[in-house]
Order: sequence, then C-alpha cells, then structure tokens
Amino acid sequence: MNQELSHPDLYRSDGGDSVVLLGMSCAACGHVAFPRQHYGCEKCGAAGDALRNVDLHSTGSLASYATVHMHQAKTIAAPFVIGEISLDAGPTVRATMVEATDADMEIGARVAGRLFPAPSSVDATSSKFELRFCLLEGRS
Amino acid sequence: MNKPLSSFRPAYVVGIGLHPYQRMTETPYPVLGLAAVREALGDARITWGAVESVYHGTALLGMASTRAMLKHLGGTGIPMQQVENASASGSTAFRLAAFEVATGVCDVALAVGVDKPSARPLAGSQTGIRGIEGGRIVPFTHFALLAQRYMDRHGATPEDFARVAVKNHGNGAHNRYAQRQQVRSLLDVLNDPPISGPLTRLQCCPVGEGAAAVIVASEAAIARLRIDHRRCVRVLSSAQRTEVVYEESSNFDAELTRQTTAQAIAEAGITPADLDVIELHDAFSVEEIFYLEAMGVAREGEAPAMLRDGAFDIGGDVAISPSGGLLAMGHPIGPTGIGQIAEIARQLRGEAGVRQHKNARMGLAHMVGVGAVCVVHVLGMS
Repeated sequence: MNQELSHPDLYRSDGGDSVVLLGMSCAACGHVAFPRQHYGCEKCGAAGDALRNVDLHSTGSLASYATVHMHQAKTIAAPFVIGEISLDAGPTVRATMVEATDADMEIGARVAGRLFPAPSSVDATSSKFELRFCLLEGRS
Repeated sequence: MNKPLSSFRPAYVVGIGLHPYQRMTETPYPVLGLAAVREALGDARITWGAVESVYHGTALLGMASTRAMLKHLGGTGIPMQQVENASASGSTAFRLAAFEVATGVCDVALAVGVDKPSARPLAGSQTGIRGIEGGRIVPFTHFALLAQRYMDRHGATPEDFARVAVKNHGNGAHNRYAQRQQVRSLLDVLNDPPISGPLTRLQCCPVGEGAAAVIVASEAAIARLRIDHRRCVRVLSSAQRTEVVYEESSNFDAELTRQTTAQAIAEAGITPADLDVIELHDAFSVEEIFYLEAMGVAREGEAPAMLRDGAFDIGGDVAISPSGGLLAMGHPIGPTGIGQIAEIARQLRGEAGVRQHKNARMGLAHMVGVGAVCVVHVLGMS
C-alpha cells in the first residue's frame, strides 16, 4: 500500500494498521522527544551525533481529552475531539481523535495512531492520509 | 552569582495609572499610553521631568513604539526601550524598572504597558519544527485538556472552574478599568457558549486594548520629590524563570509557577500564608485553581473547596484577582502585568474602594507567558 501522507516528516505507516511517529533520542542524557529536531537536546543541550532518530510506536494511553466546540480558523470545522496521549515509548503527544464525541473516552484508555484520508481530499483521486488517534478495543 | 532584589537598596511603587481595558477601537495607541502615564504622574504628584528611565512592555505594537508615544510628554532625552516577553511583557518591564532603581542606576523609572490586538504569528510557529496538531490545539484547548485531567484526578466538576469566573467577574464589576464589568451567576457562566472541554466563553479572558503605568522610585527620590511616603509600596522581591523539561510535562505553566513563586516568596522572607492579595494569570478559569495550588496557597486538590467556601473572595482569607483578573479586567498583553502591580499597590494603600480587601499588607503578582516564561513580584506595605 503506497499512501501519500499529509506530514511525511512527522509519521509513517508501520507497514501494518498502525503508525510510527518520527521521534528522537539523546545519547547524552536519554531524553526521548517528538517531533524530531537536530538543533540540540531540550534537556541537556547536546547536539550533533548525540541526537539519534528513533521511531516511536503510536500506541499509548489516553492522558486527557477535550471536545473543541469552536475554532477561530474557518478551515477547521468544529466540533472535534483532541486527545493527550502518553506514548508507551515515553513522550506525550496531542492529536485529533477519530471519535466524533468524547462520550466513550476515559483517562487511561488504550489508544493508537491510524492513517485516515484527510477530510479535504476525500473526493480527490489521490487522497492524502493523515494521522488520527483512536480508542482500542479492550480497555486497560 | 544571582543577587536578589532585596540585596540592593529599597525600590517603591510611587505612582499608578491605567487606561481602561476595552475591545479594540480605532483609538491610536499613544492615546491609551499617554492617559495611563499622565494618571501615574498625577498619582505620584511628580512631573514628567522627574522620570529618568522608561521600560515599555508591549508585545504587539511593532518596532519603535515607545518614543513615538512618549515624545508627547516633552522630550527629555532619557533612555526608553520596548520589552517583549509574551504575556509577561509588562511584568518584565516592571522588573527591569525595579532593578534599575534598586541598583542605583537611576532614582525614578517608569514601567508602562500598551498594546492593541494584532494578528501577527508567534515566532514559535516559525522555528522550522512542526507539530502534528496543525493549529487545532490553541491555548483554550491546552487548558481544557489540563482541566479534564484535574477533574479526573481530584473529582472536581465544571462548576468548580466556573466559580473562578463568577468571583472574578464579580470583582471586575466594581472596577472602572475592567473590560468586563458585569456580575455573572454560576448559571450564566455554565450556560454560556461552550468553547473547549468544560470551558465556556466567560471562562476565557478577553484580549483587547489598554494601557497601564507604574512609577518606581528610590527613597532618595521620594524625599527629594516630596512624594507621600504613606502611599509608597515597597517591591520586596522579583523572580523570573523559564520552562525546563519537567517530569510533569503537560502542565508546564504550573511547574514553572511553583518554582518562580517559591523563589519570590523566599526572597521576600515570607510564606504563602502571609499574602493578603494575589493577582495571577487567570487567562482561563482553570489556571487560577492550578496556580493557587502550585503557589502553596491551597493544598493539591483543595483549591475548589476553598473557593466554594469564599476563602479567595475580597474579605476572605486571601483576595485572589480583586481587579477582576485577566478574566474580567481583561488581558491586553503588554499592560496586563503592570495593571496587576497597580491593583496590588491600590489594595495595599487601602484605596480600592468597594473592592478593598481589609488590612491588605502583602501582595503577589504572577504572570506566565508563551515560551513558557514566568515573572512573580511580592509587594509589601510597612
């Protein structure tokens, strides 16, 4: 499956259903972070070869959630649900959830990233895919 | 080696002035700023010629805003500079003015904050490092996420957060400088249009325009200019810090507030229990709960119950945001931190009228800003 991604610099398919986030780790202090950057470690200041690219699997647990009822940008249609995800790999990320409401959400629930056709390109012939997180069956 | 403000000679707030915070109008910014500065000069009963240095807290006006405004007081040739530090721009300008007086570089310094809303993007969006959110997570959603976690952890309810807005709108209703001057009931706040998570519109601060000015002076200047010493409020401490990588990474503003406030309180030689009035960064209602606990004014998880019992009302244990706070007085950015100092000085002088917290002797001003940055001052009346 050859999916064109909205943000190929931030994530990619793991080859199956799921997604890996393109993160980094610092060989000097062990700090693991997302997104990837090579300016210098935010914790210890190490730069250059100390900063290693690592793939962070997108599974984790839901640390919080919020339904956004309005958004100033006209290109972003509300409502939508944002999740805060503690990745099993360490970093915390915030991302849009697939679920249209937070009715079934519970802090601690297992979640993972998936690729979905971007809303803006649903009708286009070559649709781009973007990252959404979703609740996994069988809660923690 | 870092030296605290208290290791230098005393610095005092001797004059305060404001232009009301309001929705954006066509009024040019010098009109706002000059009104606040002239009021502060009048309050101190000194003339413009006595001012020796200017720090202008402004985040949105653009390059070279200060002399274009203050030249209309008559050119005296004194140093003037803009200070930009996000929401803490005004607080940082005040800190620089206080240090300049305390260290003896000058005897009389003006800290002024003026801003008008602008759509210019933050530099943080131009670092070349992108996130996955794509602009979908704005500040109110950041705080909505933290609010949901707090409710889950401590059994708090949306009503607990809404009560912050009820209190602060009630205070702002008696403040002629406030952008929002209307009493709101708990139902008014809860039934207001939802914005994000438990936050409704009345739990999010308005960002408009306005100005605030504070004059800082040494004892020598107070004597020389015959300023009424009984109306002078001493700046006891000044602390400023920036975010680091925290164990508790999501609520970084609270961690930063914890460290910065602890430093300011220690340098002033007091404990949180000594504080009578606090003006804090309540851009969103939930922040007041987080920061009161981070400051040690309330134990973790206990701020909502104390709020419900009236501990944070004017006349309670410690008056929190008697001006109305960012929620009701408003948050025009550059002026905000200086407006907090003006409110605390007014309270400690006993000149706050119907908003007066009885026997107020010790006050604390707190701002956080995008970055994250944090500035905390302790002021006291001897």
